[in-house]
Amino acid sequence: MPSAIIPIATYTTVGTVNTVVFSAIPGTYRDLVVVVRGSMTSSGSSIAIRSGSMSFWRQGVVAVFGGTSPTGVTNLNAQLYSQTSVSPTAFGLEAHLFDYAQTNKFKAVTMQDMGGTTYAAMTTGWGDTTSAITAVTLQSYGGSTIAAGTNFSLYGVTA
Amino acid sequence: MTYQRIATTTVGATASTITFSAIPGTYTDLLLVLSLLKTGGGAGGYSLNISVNGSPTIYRRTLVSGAAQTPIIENTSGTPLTIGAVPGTGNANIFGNTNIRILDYTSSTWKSAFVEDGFYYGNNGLSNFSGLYIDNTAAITEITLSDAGTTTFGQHSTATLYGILKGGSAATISTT
Repeated sequence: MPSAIIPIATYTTVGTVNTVVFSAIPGTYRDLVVVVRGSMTSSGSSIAIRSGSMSFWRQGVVAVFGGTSPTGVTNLNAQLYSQTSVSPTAFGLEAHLFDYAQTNKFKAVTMQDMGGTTYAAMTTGWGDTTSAITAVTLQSYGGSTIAAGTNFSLYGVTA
Repeated sequence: MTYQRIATTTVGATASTITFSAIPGTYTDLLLVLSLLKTGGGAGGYSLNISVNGSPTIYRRTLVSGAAQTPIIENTSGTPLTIGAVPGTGNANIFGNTNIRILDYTSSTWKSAFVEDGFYYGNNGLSNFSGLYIDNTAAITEITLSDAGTTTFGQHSTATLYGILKGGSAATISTT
């Protein structure tokens, strides 16, 4: 367990929203952790994670979805996807971005997420940018919106 | 520090149950860290019963296991959750280790959780990952662990409950 995980920012939706953006993220931590706890307004949608300075995520997934196992490697356009669900089956997502403020390496990420009653996944990947991450966007994908009461929290991990 | 230790217990001889009660509702998530020694019943994982608020758990689990090519999807009512542990006989120094992260444990929805466990399996290590729902819409104030079989938790087994906080205002948040 890291020596300290410091809360940077948190937001709980009051009404429905499409996008939540953390910006002006200080570069003073070693890693970032993003946690989402909540639900969507309709099923079959996802939460996409992206950063404005990133052109590609390269993603490897070990997952179970609806009884099948879509394990694979993909190159995605600028975002990672996490499955979601509607109440009462709140979904959960936790993404760990390593060395986000470094400017000499692509950004590695590990993510675990679950949604519905038949989905769970572990993901590793890289964001193809050597720029420091100063903003993280979480956006609904697939036609649904993010339901009221969904919490988005950003943490900084000290070395 | 956003991880705060709520309570921890170490098994002295053997124990049939481990209970965390009067869990405060002041955190965002709970993290249960288990290091368990199985006292008998053969190799493999514990058949762990997790009771929440005094009632047996109904859970739905999606499991990705290092032991199987086919994913496992369970939808059970009151049956045990198999997690990592190892037999004590001949393996008294090898404990099964499990992290159970329960999100939004005070919410009025089913509780979503991540379960990571590793244990001894046929002279090898085995890793599993699960997405887990606990079908309970009440705030969790008590968690009891027990084995569904005849085994008990062995000496030096430990169970620690952490609370995880949210908060902070060091970045800007906007929504659309």
